[in-house]
Amino acid sequence: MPSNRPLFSLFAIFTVAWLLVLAGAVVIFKFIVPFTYCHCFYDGVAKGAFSTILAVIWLGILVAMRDQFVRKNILSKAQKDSESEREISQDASNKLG
Amino acid sequence: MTVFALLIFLAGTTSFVLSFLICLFGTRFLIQFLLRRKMTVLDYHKPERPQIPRPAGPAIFGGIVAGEILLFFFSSSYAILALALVTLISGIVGIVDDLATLGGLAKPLLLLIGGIPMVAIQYLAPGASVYSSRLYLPLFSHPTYLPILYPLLVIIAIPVTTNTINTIDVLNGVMSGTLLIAFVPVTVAIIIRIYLGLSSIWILLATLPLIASLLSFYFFFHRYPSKIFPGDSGALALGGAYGAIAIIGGVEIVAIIAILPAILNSFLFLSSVKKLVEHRQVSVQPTILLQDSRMVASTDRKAPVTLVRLLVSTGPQSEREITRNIFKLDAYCAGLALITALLIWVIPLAK
Repeated sequence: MPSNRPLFSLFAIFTVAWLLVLAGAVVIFKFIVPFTYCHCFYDGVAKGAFSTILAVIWLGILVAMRDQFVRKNILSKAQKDSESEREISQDASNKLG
Repeated sequence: MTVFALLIFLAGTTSFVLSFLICLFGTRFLIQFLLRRKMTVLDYHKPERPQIPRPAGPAIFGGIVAGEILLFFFSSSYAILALALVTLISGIVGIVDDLATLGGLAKPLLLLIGGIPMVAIQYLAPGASVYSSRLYLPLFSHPTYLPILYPLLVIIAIPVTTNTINTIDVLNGVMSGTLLIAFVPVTVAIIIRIYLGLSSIWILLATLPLIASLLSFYFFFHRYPSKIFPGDSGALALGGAYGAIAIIGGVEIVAIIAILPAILNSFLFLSSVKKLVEHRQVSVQPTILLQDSRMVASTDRKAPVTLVRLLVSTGPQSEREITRNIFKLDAYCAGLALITALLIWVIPLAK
C-alpha cells in the first residue's frame, strides 16, 4: 500500500503555488504595471524588467520545492535501495569467501 | 415567467442537449470509424495492452461549437461567437497535430491564431464586450485597467491553456475529469459576477455546451477504462474553450487556480527538460511500468519531473489510484479557486 506522503507534500506545494500566483498577480498588475513614472519607452521596459525579475524569483521558489521533493522522495530512496543491494551482494560474497 | 426568462431557459436547455448529443453520437461514430481505419494507439497502462481509437476531438469540439453557435443565434453575443471560433481553431490545429505530429515549438505558434478572433472581434466591434481589459485582483474592489497589455495576454492565453490541458492528458479520464472539476469554481465565479452586475447571463449559458460535451465524453467514453482517447484535437479544443471562457467571463485568475495541477505538471516537465518538446520526444521516461501494470517513479536523474512521477515516488500505484489522487489534487485546487473568487468579488465589497 503506497503511503499518502507525496499527496500531502503536493497539497503543500499547491498551497504555496496558489499564494505565489495571487501575490504575483497583485504585485505585477496592481503595483508595477499601473505605475507610470513617465510616458516614455523606458517606462514600459522598466515595468517588463521588474515583472520578469519577480516571475523568475517566483519560478525559482517552485523549482527549489520541486528539487527538494525529488531529492527527498525519489533520489534518496534510490540511494537507499542501491546501498541495501550493495550490502546484500557484500554478504553473499563474504559467505562465498 | 417573463419572455426573457423563457428565452434563457430555452437557449440553455437546447444548447446543452445539442452539445451533449453531438458529443455522444459523434464519439460513438468515431470509435467505429477509427477502428475500421485502424487509427488506434496502444493503452500501455493496461495488462492486456488494448488498442484504443484516437482522436475523439472532432466529436468534442463539434458538440461545443454547435451549442455555442445555437446560443449565438439566441443572444447575438459576439463573445459567444468568439468562443466558438477559438474552440474551432484550436480543434483544427489539434487535428493537424493528430495526423501530422507538429513539433514542440510549431504547435504553440500555430495556436497563437486561436486568440486572434477574440481580439479581432473586440477591435472591429468595440461594443461587442468580448473582454473588458479590466483585471479583478484579490482584496481590491477596483479592477486594474490594462488597455494595451490585456489584448496581448489574450493572444498568449490560448496557446498556454491549450498546451497546459494537453499535458495533463496522461491517463484514462484525467484531462476531461480535471476540466469538469475546474468548471465548478469557474461557473460559481461567473454566477457571482452576474449577481454583482459585472457579467451577462449569456456568458453563464456559454459554459453549458462545454460542460455538456465534457460530461458526455467523460462518463460514456474517457473515464477508466477509456473507450477512445481525445487526442490532441480534443485536448487542444477543450483547452482553447476553457481559456476563452475564462477571458469572456472575466474570471481569469480563478480559472488559473482551478487548473493548477495541470499548470504545475506542465511547469515541472518544461523546467526539468529545459526546452519545448513533446512528451513522446523524451528519451528517459518519468515512470517505469511494472509487470502488473502499476507505475513507479524512475530514479534516473535525467528523467523529466511530472505530476505522475511525484505521485508514485513512494511506491507503485495502479492507473486508477493515480487518477484518483490527481482528482483529489484537482478538488483541492478547485477549493482554492473558490476562496480566490471570494477574495476577488465578495470580501472587497464587504469591507
